[in-house]
Amino acid sequence: MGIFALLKRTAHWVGEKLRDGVATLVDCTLEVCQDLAEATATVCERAREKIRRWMPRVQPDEVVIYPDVENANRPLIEPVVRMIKQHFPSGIKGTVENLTEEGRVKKISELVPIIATSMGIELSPDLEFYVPEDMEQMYRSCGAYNWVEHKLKLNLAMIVHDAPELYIEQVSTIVHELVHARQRLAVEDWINGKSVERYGYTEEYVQILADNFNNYITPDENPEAYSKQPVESETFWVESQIKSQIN
Amino acid sequence: MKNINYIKLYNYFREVEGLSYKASLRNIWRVRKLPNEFKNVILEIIEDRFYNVGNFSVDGVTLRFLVEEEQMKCIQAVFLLDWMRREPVNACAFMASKRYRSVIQPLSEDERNEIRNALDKARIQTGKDVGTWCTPEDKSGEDIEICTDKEEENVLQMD
Repeated sequence: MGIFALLKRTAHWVGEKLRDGVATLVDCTLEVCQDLAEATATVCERAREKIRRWMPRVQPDEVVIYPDVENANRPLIEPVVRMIKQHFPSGIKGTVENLTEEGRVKKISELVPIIATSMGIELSPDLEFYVPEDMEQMYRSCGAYNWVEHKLKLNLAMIVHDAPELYIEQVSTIVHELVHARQRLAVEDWINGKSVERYGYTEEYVQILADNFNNYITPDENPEAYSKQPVESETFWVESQIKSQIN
Repeated sequence: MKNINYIKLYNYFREVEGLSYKASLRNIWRVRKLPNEFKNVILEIIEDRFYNVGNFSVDGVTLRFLVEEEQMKCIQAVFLLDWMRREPVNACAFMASKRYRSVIQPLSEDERNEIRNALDKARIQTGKDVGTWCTPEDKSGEDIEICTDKEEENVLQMD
Protein backbone atom coordinates (compact mmCIF):
# COMPACT_ATOMS: atom_id res chain seq x y z
CA MET A 1 0.00 0.00 0.00
CA GLY A 2 1.35 3.46 -0.92
CA ILE A 3 2.21 5.92 1.79
CA PHE A 4 -0.68 8.23 0.92
CA ALA A 5 -3.23 5.48 0.76
CA LEU A 6 -1.99 4.32 4.15
CA LEU A 7 -2.11 7.78 5.69
CA LYS A 8 -5.50 8.56 4.20
CA ARG A 9 -7.03 6.06 6.59
CA THR A 10 -6.06 8.10 9.59
CA ALA A 11 -4.61 11.51 8.75
CA HIS A 12 -6.18 14.84 8.01
CA TRP A 13 -4.26 17.19 5.78
CA VAL A 14 -4.64 20.48 4.03
CA GLY A 15 -5.81 19.71 0.49
CA GLU A 16 -5.32 16.38 -1.22
CA LYS A 17 -1.83 17.05 -2.52
CA LEU A 18 0.08 20.29 -2.56
CA ARG A 19 1.96 21.53 -5.61
CA ASP A 20 5.42 20.52 -4.43
CA GLY A 21 4.59 16.86 -4.18
CA VAL A 22 3.93 16.97 -0.47
CA ALA A 23 0.93 16.62 1.79
CA THR A 24 0.67 18.98 4.72
CA LEU A 25 -0.69 17.20 7.72
CA VAL A 26 -3.06 18.88 10.11
CA ASP A 27 -2.83 16.36 12.87
CA CYS A 28 -0.14 13.97 13.97
CA THR A 29 -1.92 11.40 16.07
CA LEU A 30 -0.16 8.30 17.36
CA GLU A 31 -1.84 6.26 14.63
CA VAL A 32 -0.66 8.60 11.85
CA CYS A 33 2.88 8.61 13.23
CA GLN A 34 2.96 4.84 13.60
CA ASP A 35 1.65 4.31 10.06
CA LEU A 36 4.28 6.65 8.67
CA ALA A 37 7.10 5.07 10.69
CA GLU A 38 6.09 1.61 9.52
CA ALA A 39 5.77 2.62 5.87
CA THR A 40 9.12 4.40 5.76
CA ALA A 41 11.25 2.02 7.83
CA THR A 42 13.36 0.75 4.91
CA VAL A 43 13.93 4.13 3.34
CA CYS A 44 14.75 5.57 6.78
CA GLU A 45 17.50 2.97 7.20
CA ARG A 46 18.92 3.92 3.78
CA ALA A 47 18.96 7.60 4.81
CA ARG A 48 20.84 6.72 8.01
CA GLU A 49 23.42 4.79 5.99
CA LYS A 50 23.88 7.79 3.69
CA ILE A 51 24.49 10.11 6.64
CA ARG A 52 26.96 7.65 8.19
CA ARG A 53 28.74 7.22 4.84
CA TRP A 54 29.50 10.93 4.46
CA MET A 55 29.56 12.13 8.06
CA PRO A 56 32.63 10.41 9.59
CA ARG A 57 34.96 12.43 7.38
CA VAL A 58 33.41 15.69 8.47
CA GLN A 59 35.00 18.05 10.97
CA PRO A 60 33.08 21.16 11.99
CA ASP A 61 34.40 24.73 11.92
CA GLU A 62 35.48 24.93 8.33
CA VAL A 63 32.58 27.08 7.22
CA VAL A 64 33.56 30.40 5.67
CA ILE A 65 31.46 33.30 6.95
CA TYR A 66 31.41 37.07 6.70
CA PRO A 67 33.64 38.67 9.34
CA ASP A 68 30.96 40.48 11.36
CA VAL A 69 28.49 37.61 11.22
CA GLU A 70 30.34 35.59 13.83
CA ASN A 71 30.05 38.48 16.29
CA ALA A 72 26.34 38.86 15.52
CA ASN A 73 25.60 35.21 16.12
CA ARG A 74 28.05 34.27 18.88
CA PRO A 75 25.71 35.49 21.69
CA LEU A 76 22.90 33.28 20.33
CA ILE A 77 24.80 30.02 20.36
CA GLU A 78 25.15 29.47 24.11
CA PRO A 79 21.48 30.15 25.06
CA VAL A 80 20.16 28.03 22.19
CA VAL A 81 22.46 25.13 23.12
CA ARG A 82 21.44 25.46 26.78
CA MET A 83 17.72 25.45 25.92
CA ILE A 84 18.09 22.42 23.65
CA LYS A 85 20.02 20.54 26.34
CA GLN A 86 17.35 21.41 28.92
CA HIS A 87 14.67 20.20 26.55
CA PHE A 88 16.45 16.87 26.08
CA PRO A 89 17.88 16.20 29.56
CA SER A 90 18.97 12.65 28.71
CA GLY A 91 20.44 13.76 25.38
CA ILE A 92 18.71 13.65 22.03
CA LYS A 93 19.58 9.98 21.45
CA GLY A 94 18.34 8.92 24.90
CA THR A 95 15.17 10.98 24.59
CA VAL A 96 14.30 9.72 21.11
CA GLU A 97 14.74 6.10 22.14
CA ASN A 98 12.40 6.45 25.10
CA LEU A 99 9.51 8.22 23.35
CA THR A 100 6.64 6.96 21.23
CA GLU A 101 6.38 8.14 17.62
CA GLU A 102 3.79 10.73 18.69
CA GLY A 103 5.96 11.77 21.65
CA ARG A 104 8.90 12.50 19.34
CA VAL A 105 6.69 14.82 17.29
CA LYS A 106 5.34 16.56 20.39
CA LYS A 107 8.85 17.04 21.77
CA ILE A 108 10.12 18.68 18.59
CA SER A 109 6.97 20.87 18.33
CA GLU A 110 7.67 22.25 21.79
CA LEU A 111 11.22 23.09 20.76
CA VAL A 112 10.30 25.59 18.00
CA PRO A 113 9.04 28.47 20.22
CA ILE A 114 11.89 27.82 22.67
CA ILE A 115 14.58 28.25 19.99
CA ALA A 116 12.71 31.16 18.36
CA THR A 117 12.66 33.04 21.68
CA SER A 118 16.36 32.30 22.28
CA MET A 119 17.09 33.76 18.85
CA GLY A 120 15.18 36.95 19.55
CA ILE A 121 12.28 36.16 17.22
CA GLU A 122 9.38 37.76 19.05
CA LEU A 123 6.57 35.92 17.28
CA SER A 124 7.40 32.23 16.89
CA PRO A 125 6.39 30.84 13.48
CA ASP A 126 3.49 28.40 13.29
CA LEU A 127 4.60 24.82 12.81
CA GLU A 128 3.28 22.45 10.15
CA PHE A 129 4.24 18.90 9.30
CA TYR A 130 4.33 17.45 5.82
CA VAL A 131 5.10 14.15 4.14
CA PRO A 132 6.88 14.02 0.75
CA GLU A 133 4.80 12.18 -1.81
CA ASP A 134 7.68 10.33 -3.45
CA MET A 135 9.25 7.62 -1.30
CA GLU A 136 12.68 8.34 -2.85
CA GLN A 137 12.38 11.95 -1.74
CA MET A 138 11.31 11.00 1.78
CA TYR A 139 14.66 11.98 3.34
CA ARG A 140 15.82 14.55 0.79
CA SER A 141 13.90 17.44 2.28
CA CYS A 142 14.12 18.26 5.97
CA GLY A 143 11.93 21.34 6.16
CA ALA A 144 11.45 24.94 5.10
CA TYR A 145 10.47 28.35 6.40
CA ASN A 146 7.64 30.13 4.59
CA TRP A 147 7.98 33.84 5.26
CA VAL A 148 4.73 34.88 3.63
CA GLU A 149 2.78 32.77 6.11
CA HIS A 150 5.52 32.92 8.80
CA LYS A 151 5.34 29.13 9.03
CA LEU A 152 7.97 26.51 9.69
CA LYS A 153 7.34 23.26 7.85
CA LEU A 154 9.05 20.03 8.91
CA ASN A 155 9.23 16.65 7.22
CA LEU A 156 7.39 14.34 9.60
CA ALA A 157 9.05 11.20 8.21
CA MET A 158 12.35 12.33 9.72
CA ILE A 159 10.89 12.70 13.18
CA VAL A 160 8.76 9.63 13.87
CA HIS A 161 11.58 7.06 13.79
CA ASP A 162 13.84 5.85 16.54
CA ALA A 163 16.73 7.25 14.49
CA PRO A 164 18.80 9.83 16.40
CA GLU A 165 20.75 10.87 13.26
CA LEU A 166 17.55 11.94 11.54
CA TYR A 167 16.09 13.55 14.67
CA ILE A 168 19.27 15.61 15.15
CA GLU A 169 18.99 16.68 11.51
CA GLN A 170 15.50 17.98 12.28
CA VAL A 171 16.63 19.86 15.39
CA SER A 172 19.35 21.39 13.18
CA THR A 173 16.75 22.17 10.54
CA ILE A 174 14.73 24.18 13.08
CA VAL A 175 17.85 26.20 13.94
CA HIS A 176 18.71 26.63 10.24
CA GLU A 177 15.26 27.77 9.20
CA LEU A 178 14.90 30.12 12.17
CA VAL A 179 18.17 31.83 11.22
CA HIS A 180 16.62 32.36 7.76
CA ALA A 181 13.51 33.74 9.48
CA ARG A 182 15.70 36.15 11.43
CA GLN A 183 17.55 37.24 8.28
CA ARG A 184 14.26 37.88 6.55
CA LEU A 185 12.90 39.91 9.48
CA ALA A 186 16.10 41.99 9.50
CA VAL A 187 15.79 42.69 5.76
CA GLU A 188 12.14 43.68 6.20
CA ASP A 189 13.03 46.03 9.06
CA TRP A 190 15.83 47.58 6.99
CA ILE A 191 13.52 48.13 4.00
CA ASN A 192 11.01 49.79 6.34
CA GLY A 193 13.67 52.15 7.65
CA LYS A 194 13.94 50.49 11.08
CA SER A 195 17.18 49.83 12.92
CA VAL A 196 18.70 46.35 12.52
CA GLU A 197 20.79 46.65 15.67
CA ARG A 198 18.63 44.22 17.65
CA TYR A 199 19.69 41.43 15.28
CA GLY A 200 23.36 42.23 15.90
CA TYR A 201 23.82 42.82 12.18
CA THR A 202 25.42 45.83 10.54
CA GLU A 203 23.31 47.69 7.99
CA GLU A 204 25.80 46.78 5.28
CA TYR A 205 25.47 43.08 6.05
CA VAL A 206 21.66 43.30 5.90
CA GLN A 207 22.00 44.88 2.47
CA ILE A 208 24.20 41.94 1.42
CA LEU A 209 21.48 39.57 2.69
CA ALA A 210 18.85 41.50 0.74
CA ASP A 211 20.94 41.34 -2.42
CA ASN A 212 21.48 37.62 -1.83
CA PHE A 213 17.73 37.00 -1.46
CA ASN A 214 17.39 38.58 -4.91
CA ASN A 215 20.27 36.54 -6.39
CA TYR A 216 19.91 33.24 -4.58
CA ILE A 217 22.07 30.28 -5.66
CA THR A 218 20.48 26.82 -5.44
CA PRO A 219 22.45 23.61 -4.79
CA ASP A 220 21.41 22.44 -8.26
CA GLU A 221 23.38 25.33 -9.72
CA ASN A 222 26.51 24.74 -7.69
CA PRO A 223 26.88 22.99 -4.31
CA GLU A 224 29.88 25.05 -3.21
CA ALA A 225 28.49 28.43 -4.22
CA TYR A 226 25.18 27.49 -2.57
CA SER A 227 26.92 26.69 0.72
CA LYS A 228 29.10 29.81 0.65
CA GLN A 229 26.57 32.47 -0.32
CA PRO A 230 25.94 34.89 2.59
CA VAL A 231 22.44 33.74 3.61
CA GLU A 232 23.49 30.09 3.69
CA SER A 233 27.03 30.45 5.06
CA GLU A 234 25.59 32.23 8.09
CA THR A 235 22.87 29.64 8.68
CA PHE A 236 25.24 26.72 8.19
CA TRP A 237 27.76 28.30 10.53
CA VAL A 238 25.18 28.75 13.31
CA GLU A 239 23.81 25.28 12.65
CA SER A 240 27.24 23.63 12.82
CA GLN A 241 28.18 25.48 16.02
CA ILE A 242 25.00 24.28 17.72
CA LYS A 243 25.04 20.79 16.26
CA SER A 244 28.59 20.13 17.44
CA GLN A 245 27.55 20.98 21.02
CA ILE A 246 24.29 19.05 21.22
CA ASN A 247 25.37 15.96 19.33
CA MET B 1 43.51 22.32 -28.40
CA LYS B 2 39.92 21.32 -27.60
CA ASN B 3 37.08 23.74 -26.93
CA ILE B 4 33.84 23.68 -24.98
CA ASN B 5 31.30 25.40 -27.20
CA TYR B 6 29.77 28.35 -25.31
CA ILE B 7 26.29 28.00 -26.78
CA LYS B 8 26.22 24.25 -26.30
CA LEU B 9 27.25 24.60 -22.66
CA TYR B 10 24.65 27.33 -22.08
CA ASN B 11 21.94 25.19 -23.65
CA TYR B 12 23.01 22.19 -21.57
CA PHE B 13 22.63 24.16 -18.35
CA ARG B 14 19.29 25.55 -19.41
CA GLU B 15 17.70 22.46 -20.94
CA VAL B 16 19.31 19.46 -19.23
CA GLU B 17 20.16 20.83 -15.78
CA GLY B 18 17.10 23.12 -15.72
CA LEU B 19 18.94 26.24 -14.56
CA SER B 20 17.84 29.85 -14.93
CA TYR B 21 19.43 32.29 -17.38
CA LYS B 22 21.56 33.93 -14.67
CA ALA B 23 22.56 30.63 -13.03
CA SER B 24 23.66 29.26 -16.41
CA LEU B 25 25.86 32.30 -17.09
CA ARG B 26 27.39 32.09 -13.61
CA ASN B 27 28.16 28.43 -14.17
CA ILE B 28 29.85 29.15 -17.52
CA TRP B 29 32.12 31.54 -15.62
CA ARG B 30 32.84 28.78 -13.09
CA VAL B 31 33.57 26.20 -15.81
CA ARG B 32 36.12 28.60 -17.31
CA LYS B 33 37.97 28.55 -13.96
CA LEU B 34 38.10 24.74 -13.64
CA PRO B 35 41.32 22.77 -14.15
CA ASN B 36 41.69 21.25 -17.62
CA GLU B 37 40.90 17.68 -16.57
CA PHE B 38 37.54 18.86 -15.18
CA LYS B 39 36.83 20.92 -18.28
CA ASN B 40 37.50 17.82 -20.33
CA VAL B 41 34.93 15.88 -18.30
CA ILE B 42 32.37 18.61 -18.96
CA LEU B 43 33.15 18.52 -22.67
CA GLU B 44 32.42 14.78 -22.72
CA ILE B 45 29.17 15.29 -20.82
CA ILE B 46 27.78 17.96 -23.12
CA GLU B 47 28.85 15.92 -26.17
CA ASP B 48 26.71 13.07 -24.79
CA ARG B 49 29.68 10.85 -23.94
CA PHE B 50 29.13 10.40 -20.20
CA TYR B 51 30.20 6.75 -20.60
CA ASN B 52 33.77 8.00 -21.17
CA VAL B 53 33.96 9.88 -17.88
CA GLY B 54 31.66 8.02 -15.46
CA ASN B 55 34.71 6.65 -13.63
CA PHE B 56 36.30 10.07 -13.21
CA SER B 57 36.90 10.30 -9.47
CA VAL B 58 38.23 12.35 -6.60
CA ASP B 59 39.18 10.65 -3.34
CA GLY B 60 37.48 7.43 -4.48
CA VAL B 61 34.13 9.11 -5.24
CA THR B 62 33.19 8.64 -8.90
CA LEU B 63 31.05 10.83 -11.09
CA ARG B 64 28.81 7.84 -11.82
CA PHE B 65 28.23 7.27 -8.08
CA LEU B 66 27.15 10.88 -7.58
CA VAL B 67 24.81 10.80 -10.57
CA GLU B 68 23.31 7.36 -10.08
CA GLU B 69 23.36 6.85 -6.32
CA GLU B 70 23.13 10.42 -5.07
CA GLN B 71 20.79 11.64 -7.85
CA MET B 72 22.98 14.62 -8.71
CA LYS B 73 22.92 16.29 -12.10
CA CYS B 74 26.04 15.61 -14.19
CA ILE B 75 27.74 19.01 -14.14
CA GLN B 76 26.55 19.66 -10.58
CA ALA B 77 28.45 16.45 -9.71
CA VAL B 78 31.57 17.69 -11.54
CA PHE B 79 31.47 20.89 -9.48
CA LEU B 80 31.09 18.78 -6.34
CA LEU B 81 34.17 16.71 -7.26
CA ASP B 82 36.18 19.85 -7.91
CA TRP B 83 35.12 21.13 -4.48
CA MET B 84 36.02 17.76 -2.93
CA ARG B 85 39.51 18.05 -4.44
CA ARG B 86 40.06 21.44 -2.77
CA GLU B 87 37.98 21.23 0.42
CA PRO B 88 37.08 17.59 1.10
CA VAL B 89 35.65 18.25 4.57
CA ASN B 90 33.25 20.95 3.42
CA ALA B 91 32.18 18.98 0.35
CA CYS B 92 31.41 15.93 2.51
CA ALA B 93 29.47 18.11 4.96
CA PHE B 94 27.33 19.21 2.03
CA MET B 95 26.68 15.61 1.00
CA ALA B 96 25.94 14.44 4.55
CA SER B 97 23.47 17.08 5.50
CA LYS B 98 23.50 20.51 3.88
CA ARG B 99 22.02 19.39 0.60
CA TYR B 100 18.85 18.30 2.35
CA ARG B 101 18.00 21.74 3.72
CA SER B 102 15.32 23.35 1.58
CA VAL B 103 16.23 26.30 -0.58
CA ILE B 104 14.75 29.59 0.57
CA GLN B 105 11.27 30.46 -0.58
CA PRO B 106 11.43 32.24 -3.98
CA LEU B 107 10.56 35.94 -3.92
CA SER B 108 7.59 37.37 -5.75
CA GLU B 109 8.26 40.02 -8.42
CA ASP B 110 6.91 42.69 -6.05
CA GLU B 111 9.30 41.60 -3.30
CA ARG B 112 12.22 41.59 -5.75
CA ASN B 113 11.39 45.13 -6.86
CA GLU B 114 11.04 46.31 -3.29
CA ILE B 115 14.52 44.96 -2.45
CA ARG B 116 16.00 46.31 -5.69
CA ASN B 117 14.63 49.80 -5.01
CA ALA B 118 15.87 49.81 -1.42
CA LEU B 119 19.35 48.67 -2.54
CA ASP B 120 19.47 51.31 -5.30
CA LYS B 121 18.57 53.97 -2.77
CA ALA B 122 21.28 52.76 -0.36
CA ARG B 123 23.84 52.63 -3.17
CA ILE B 124 23.17 56.27 -4.04
CA GLN B 125 23.43 57.29 -0.37
CA THR B 126 26.59 55.35 0.51
CA GLY B 127 28.29 54.99 -2.86
CA LYS B 128 28.90 51.31 -2.00
CA ASP B 129 27.86 48.32 -4.10
CA VAL B 130 26.99 45.29 -1.94
CA GLY B 131 26.61 42.93 -4.90
CA THR B 132 30.27 41.97 -5.04
CA TRP B 133 29.80 38.67 -3.18
CA CYS B 134 28.18 37.06 -6.22
CA THR B 135 29.88 35.05 -8.98
CA PRO B 136 30.07 37.09 -12.21
CA GLU B 137 27.87 36.16 -15.17
CA ASP B 138 29.84 35.13 -18.25
CA LYS B 139 28.20 36.84 -21.22
CA SER B 140 31.33 36.71 -23.39
CA GLY B 141 29.96 34.17 -25.85
CA GLU B 142 33.51 32.81 -26.19
CA ASP B 143 34.24 29.10 -26.27
CA ILE B 144 36.22 27.66 -23.35
CA GLU B 145 39.66 26.34 -24.25
CA ILE B 146 40.99 23.10 -22.82
CA CYS B 147 44.77 22.92 -22.90
CA THR B 148 46.70 19.66 -22.82
CA ASP B 149 49.40 19.45 -20.13
CA LYS B 150 52.07 20.26 -22.74
CA GLU B 151 50.16 23.27 -24.06
CA GLU B 152 49.67 24.54 -20.53
CA GLU B 153 53.41 24.17 -19.88
CA ASN B 154 54.15 26.26 -22.97
CA VAL B 155 51.69 28.95 -21.92
CA LEU B 156 53.28 29.14 -18.47
CA GLN B 157 56.76 29.42 -19.98
CA MET B 158 55.61 32.24 -22.27
CA ASP B 159 54.12 34.07 -19.28
